Amino acid sequence: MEDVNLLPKSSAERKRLSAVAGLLTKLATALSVLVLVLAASAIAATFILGNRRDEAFRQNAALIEQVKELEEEEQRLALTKNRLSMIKDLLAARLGEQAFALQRELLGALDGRGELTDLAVSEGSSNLGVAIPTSRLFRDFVSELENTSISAVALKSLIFDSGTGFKLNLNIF
Amino acid sequence: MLSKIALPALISLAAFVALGAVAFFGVTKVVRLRGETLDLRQKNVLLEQKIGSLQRAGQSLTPELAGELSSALPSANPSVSLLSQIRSALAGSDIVLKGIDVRPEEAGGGDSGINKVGISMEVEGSPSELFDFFVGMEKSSPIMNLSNLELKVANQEVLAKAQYVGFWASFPEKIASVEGFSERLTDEEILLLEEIAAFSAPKELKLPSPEAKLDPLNRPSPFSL
Repeated sequence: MEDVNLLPKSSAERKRLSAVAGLLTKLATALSVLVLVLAASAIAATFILGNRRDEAFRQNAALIEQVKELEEEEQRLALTKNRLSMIKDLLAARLGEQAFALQRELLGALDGRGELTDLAVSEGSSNLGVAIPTSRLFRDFVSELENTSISAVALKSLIFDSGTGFKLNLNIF
Repeated sequence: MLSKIALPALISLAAFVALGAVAFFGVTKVVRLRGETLDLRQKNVLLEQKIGSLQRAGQSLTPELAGELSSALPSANPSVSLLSQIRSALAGSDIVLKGIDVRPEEAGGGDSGINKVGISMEVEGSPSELFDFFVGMEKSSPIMNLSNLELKVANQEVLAKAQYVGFWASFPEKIASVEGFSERLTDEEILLLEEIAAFSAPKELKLPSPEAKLDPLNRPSPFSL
């Protein structure tokens, strides 16, 4: 006759299942608490950040209104910037002021020593015709040029006539 | 026994899914709100800077100053104002205006948007007076640049042929958007502004209104600019 085991199949297996059930219960509890904490944190963060966003939005709307109120000043500033950028280029392209300053200096050096006979100013060059009666005044004129701020003078032509003296054609830079 | 395991297992699974959902939607929402808030705050800082810049501009850039700039580089052909300036500069001197010619150049405005008008003139006078005249023209509004000058001297009198170029350009039609940035004036621009403000402005041309009753024997000269 075959032996019949009347004892429970395995008390060890039951213990193991009990342990697993206990672990799962703990896990479920921990996860539930974590979900609740995270949900509460998310709700709180959403509330706080939402308030901050709304506050920033209100501030933004108020600032935009302020900018709109300053539209006249903005137009004036835009016009000023526009005109200044154009005027800056126009003034930079001027040849008059600089050329006149040099010519004035040259005429100052010529004062009492000779006469201006002709002058031509165009972009990049300034030509002067000068008449000087004697070689001594010519020397004086040349040495006086050293006292001016003229950086370079090119002698384009020099004509000597015993009756009228020296006729010079100068190019100043 | 199995039911003792199944229930906590199901709860764990549900809690895990809920955790994922809360983490995903919660974090997404928080990140989005935070991003929007930071973006708005950044815009607000720029707007505050813009308001400060515009308020300062409002204090320093008076309508009169803007008017002087518009006068220096007007939006319409400045021929009449230029002639007025030449006439004013010649008034009180012994310089004789022997001829003047006005012709438009580059009516299309070119790439720069600046239109030009050429003015050629012949004037006669003493060298010093002529130099004063030409230097004075460099300090007058509307701006005109000397492009060519020829002087011939005979018997202490100088005959000068001068070619000037006057300018005009359309006013800007658009300003930056409300949230766009408005640059403040640089120090260099402020100096240039002061320089232009010192230019002599053309006298205002005031023609009598059609309603005004005019004395037919004492009519104002339309050329007295």
